[in-house]
Amino acid sequence: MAVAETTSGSATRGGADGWRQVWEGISIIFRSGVAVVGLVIILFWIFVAIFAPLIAPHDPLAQDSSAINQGPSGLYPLGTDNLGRDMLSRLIYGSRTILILAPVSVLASVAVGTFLGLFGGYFGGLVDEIVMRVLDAIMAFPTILLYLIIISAIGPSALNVVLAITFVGSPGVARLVRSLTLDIRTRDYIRAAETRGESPLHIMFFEILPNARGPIIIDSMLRVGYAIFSIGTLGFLGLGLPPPTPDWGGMISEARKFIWTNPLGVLWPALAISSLVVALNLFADGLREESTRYN
Amino acid sequence: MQQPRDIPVLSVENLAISYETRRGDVRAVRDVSFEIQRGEAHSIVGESGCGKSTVAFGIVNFLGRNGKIVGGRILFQGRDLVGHSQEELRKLRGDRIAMVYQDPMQALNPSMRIGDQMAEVLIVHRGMSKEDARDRCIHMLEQVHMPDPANVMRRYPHQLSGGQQQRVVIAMALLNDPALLIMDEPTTALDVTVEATVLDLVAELQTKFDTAIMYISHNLGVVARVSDNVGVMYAGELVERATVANVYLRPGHPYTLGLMHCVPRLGMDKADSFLYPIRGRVPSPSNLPPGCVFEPRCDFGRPICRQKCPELREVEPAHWARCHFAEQVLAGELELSPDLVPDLEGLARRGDGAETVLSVEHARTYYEAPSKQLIGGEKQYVKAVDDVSVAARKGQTLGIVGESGCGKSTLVKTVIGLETPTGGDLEFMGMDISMPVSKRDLDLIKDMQMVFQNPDSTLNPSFSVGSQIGRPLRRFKTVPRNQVRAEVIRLLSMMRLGENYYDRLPRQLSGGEKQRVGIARAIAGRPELVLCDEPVSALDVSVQAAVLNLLLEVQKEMGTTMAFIAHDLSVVRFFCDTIAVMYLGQIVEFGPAEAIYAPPYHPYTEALLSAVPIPDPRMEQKHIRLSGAVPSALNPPSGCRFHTRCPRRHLLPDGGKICELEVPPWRHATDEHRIFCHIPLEDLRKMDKVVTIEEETHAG
Amino acid sequence: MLVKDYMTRHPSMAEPSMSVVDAQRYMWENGIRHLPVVGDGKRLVGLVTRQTLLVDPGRLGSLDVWEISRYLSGLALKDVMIKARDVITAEQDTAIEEAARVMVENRIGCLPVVEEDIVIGIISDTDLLTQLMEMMATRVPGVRVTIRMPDVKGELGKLVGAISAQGWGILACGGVPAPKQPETWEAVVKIRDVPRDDVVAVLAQVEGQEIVDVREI
Repeated sequence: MAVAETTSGSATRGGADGWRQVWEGISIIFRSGVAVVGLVIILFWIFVAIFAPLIAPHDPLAQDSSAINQGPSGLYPLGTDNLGRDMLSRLIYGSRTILILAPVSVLASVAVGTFLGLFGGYFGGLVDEIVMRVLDAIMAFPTILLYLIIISAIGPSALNVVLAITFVGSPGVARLVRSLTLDIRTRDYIRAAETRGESPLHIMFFEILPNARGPIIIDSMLRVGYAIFSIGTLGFLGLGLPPPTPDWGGMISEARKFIWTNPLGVLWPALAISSLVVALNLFADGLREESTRYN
Repeated sequence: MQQPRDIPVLSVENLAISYETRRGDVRAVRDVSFEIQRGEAHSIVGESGCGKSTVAFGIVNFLGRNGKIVGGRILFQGRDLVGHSQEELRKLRGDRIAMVYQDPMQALNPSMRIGDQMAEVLIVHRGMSKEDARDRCIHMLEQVHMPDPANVMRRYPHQLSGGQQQRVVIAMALLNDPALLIMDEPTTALDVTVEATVLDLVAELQTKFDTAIMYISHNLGVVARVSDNVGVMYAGELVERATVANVYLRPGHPYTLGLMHCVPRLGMDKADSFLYPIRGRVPSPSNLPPGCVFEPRCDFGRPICRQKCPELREVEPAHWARCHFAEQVLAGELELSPDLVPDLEGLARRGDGAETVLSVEHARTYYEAPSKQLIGGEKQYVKAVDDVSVAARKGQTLGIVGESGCGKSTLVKTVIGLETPTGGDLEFMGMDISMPVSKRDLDLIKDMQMVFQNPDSTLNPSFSVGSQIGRPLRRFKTVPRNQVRAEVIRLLSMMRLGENYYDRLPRQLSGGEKQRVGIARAIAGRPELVLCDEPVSALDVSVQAAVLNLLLEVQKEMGTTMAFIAHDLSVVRFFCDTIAVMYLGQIVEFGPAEAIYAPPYHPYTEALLSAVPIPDPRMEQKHIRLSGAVPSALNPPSGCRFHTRCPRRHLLPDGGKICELEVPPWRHATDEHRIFCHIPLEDLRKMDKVVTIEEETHAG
Repeated sequence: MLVKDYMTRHPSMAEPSMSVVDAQRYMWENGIRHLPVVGDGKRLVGLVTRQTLLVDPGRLGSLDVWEISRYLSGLALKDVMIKARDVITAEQDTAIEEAARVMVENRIGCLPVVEEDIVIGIISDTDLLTQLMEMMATRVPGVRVTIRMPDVKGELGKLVGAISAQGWGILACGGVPAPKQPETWEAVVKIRDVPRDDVVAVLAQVEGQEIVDVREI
């Protein structure tokens, strides 16, 4: 098929073009109502996490034995948990945990997964087979089971939570990157790089990866949502951060036992987790739809 | 037979179509008017982006969610199509207007058998019974010369070749006996020899069924062959409309004139056949010039052209042109400026004593095919390149021509090291190159570079033009680091691209510009040999000329040796010094360019030359067609691989029995020209030239 | 000389829901005299001619002026067309003179050509006239001779024999019973590239036959 020979609108210099791309990216976000809603919620929680010491009315670790499992009151706006700690403050400080751990885990799994996917996709053959079979094996396990195995093996701690999530999340990223690599690898500019004698590492990281970033970035955003959910799950199972660190999942787990007397104890952290996850999904979805709309 | 005052089957009047986009309305079609009578073949020709397909989609109301007709009328048999309801249009489309697309798989359902799909058309539209429908389908498949129709009915689309799929689609389109058949580049994806048979079919159907045909194409050769009348479109407007003879031989619009001069013609001699590219580029629909839309690129432009947009007017009977000066163009007063053509004197022609730069002897590249049995079983090989010997001399161009599956791409990939040869001797500048690129010396790599076919995938979308051209400079250390940028700019200007291209990204470039950047990148390291894999096939005609001229200039200035792969014999002639014709992994003819185009021919070369559509209605061409399809390279025919389809077998005793049994010898017509055939040279020399001009035959 | 050789393929057709007013304009603007009405898949459901579009005065008699307009504008082809079962059709392999007979006997000007109810073409009286012209080689110049002979076996053969004995080419040859003369036959032959006088000289000599008209056209 012949290619249209038309003038393009812009002839800007590369530097300015970089900013223009950022601006274009931002304006795509604003075009999608859905993405904006998501973004607002995310920013809200980030704000909360940053200014936690200024916003939280009480110390999240302070116990008040006179106010156990109370509902909302003037002193404790969202009520207290079974050790008399202020729910609101724990919620606020809990956001810090999640908002640090989740992105870190995702970053780690994207790094590992990208590496594996690039290798497998570019080299193909035996290397690809080995990598994919191993990853398939990991993905065959139910996630919860994997978490259980990993955390029980290495013990609960913030670092181990990150490790667990990385381990469980990399195969998915690897798959995505591998299929992107397989597609990009057929392009002529990769051929051209090969005919220049470029090393495979150069080709993978400088020719292929820059062109795969779009889907990887959007996928990462969704993964942050999953990661948040996973951290919550781990916390719920008691496999997350050791107490007394405020951890939304852990809060649900503790409050569960008292659900009949103080159902709100479960509700607030559950809502918090859901809101973040939903917000991230909305954001990613909105972005994706907007950037593919006029295809 | 015909009513005295016939209603045209299709009458398009001042049609205008726009698309809604993020940035506002794009006026894809702005003023198109033409008529097609019953039984007439009318082509719409134009380069990509001119709006010709949009016109067709407008007629069948296939414009998509955001397309709309904003002006003019479309009359089908006298009735305005624009006013109909969706339901009425659906019936019309099925019953009386049919469309065939470039990709047959757009019309075929991959999960249904051919017979079921075809019969469905009849059962749904006509309420036929299954048996009747089936019989009619078989009958129609016979009409399109499909071998073994009953068998084909049972197969799935992927089991048919491209040419066969297209025949099925044409048969399906004709099942309802449409009054109008619209064909949108139906043969562009097909090999030349297959294309020729499909075009024959179209002509036959036109007379047999009295169907009006609207043929859309960018290929001027095909259009010359199929049409009665031609409409030329440019940037959304119809700029000229006349009989095929007039459009090609006496154009009335500068754009048409320009097109005719930038198309290589098979019959022309090489040395005095320059291609004149049309300078500038097509304006984008959101950025149209005031006045005449072609004016910025027109050599004939006058002030009035900038101010006032010309109307499409009848400059002589049945000849319309949209130009203020159409009469002068018709009279031949428009001269093409010579500075469009590079000064090519002194280009090293087949100098004797020029050293051999590339030498390939008995090269073989086999791929292992998965064996049919699960375990064990004999290994099967796809013999993509099987005993090929070619050579290229310094400063000259070697052309490699063949249809898809002949192995030319594999050969080139083997030479450059993207594939590993299975056997044979390959030498480049005296050094062995029979290993993949990863095992070659950097010096060797530096001296052999490649230009790729597809402009859209030849550049990395994430990096700027400057950095991509600079990369080989840095890697091969052609110039010191602080001079890289200057060198890149020098290369850009050699490609006729300004300094402002340095920072641009590929997506801001047009197809021709991307291809030029690809060439700059390939020559940056000053290689001895540049391999070009169909570098112009994906470009518009007017851009092809510019890129080809550019490659010639590069060769002249840098003394580069080139290997040029193509499937179009007309391009190769203009460009190459020696040519190798390949079929199914082997070379069947090799020699200097002039020798290939004149007898003696290898029968396959003869068939290729007869099949190439020539953009000149005066040319007489032999009508040799190959039957069957290219055999599989997994299991090539014994003896001479061409024997299953050779139209000249009867020249040998016993109907050419020897062709099946023995591998042919090389016949040496001259020192430099050899043919791989059993037929003796005297018989081959006696063949007529494939292409002649009418005047020649009369002069004799 | 079958219907399929002379019919017009892909005739203009209309659907039953088309309004009479639109159909009238369509037929008038494009010079169409006979318009087949088709349903799905070009299945013949009726036929409309210029006459059928003239509405029967009887129907209108009871309506006043304003109602007439509304009535007329609401009419569709399906209300006024000749229904398919009453339409006489032809098949494409029918001999053309059969089609002529049908048209003459039924006093109609056209026949839709159908294949199992699907309209594939239309043949009209004009097409038959064209065929007559072709048969009589009207467009080719030559000497046209009308010969009267007894209506007896072998007479025509004598005439043709005389012509071919000269090695002349016959462009057209036909015959009819002589009008108003019983037991006599009139044959018309057209010969090319031979001077008129030579033709007359030879043919006058055929026994028992007389030349009644000679002209060069």
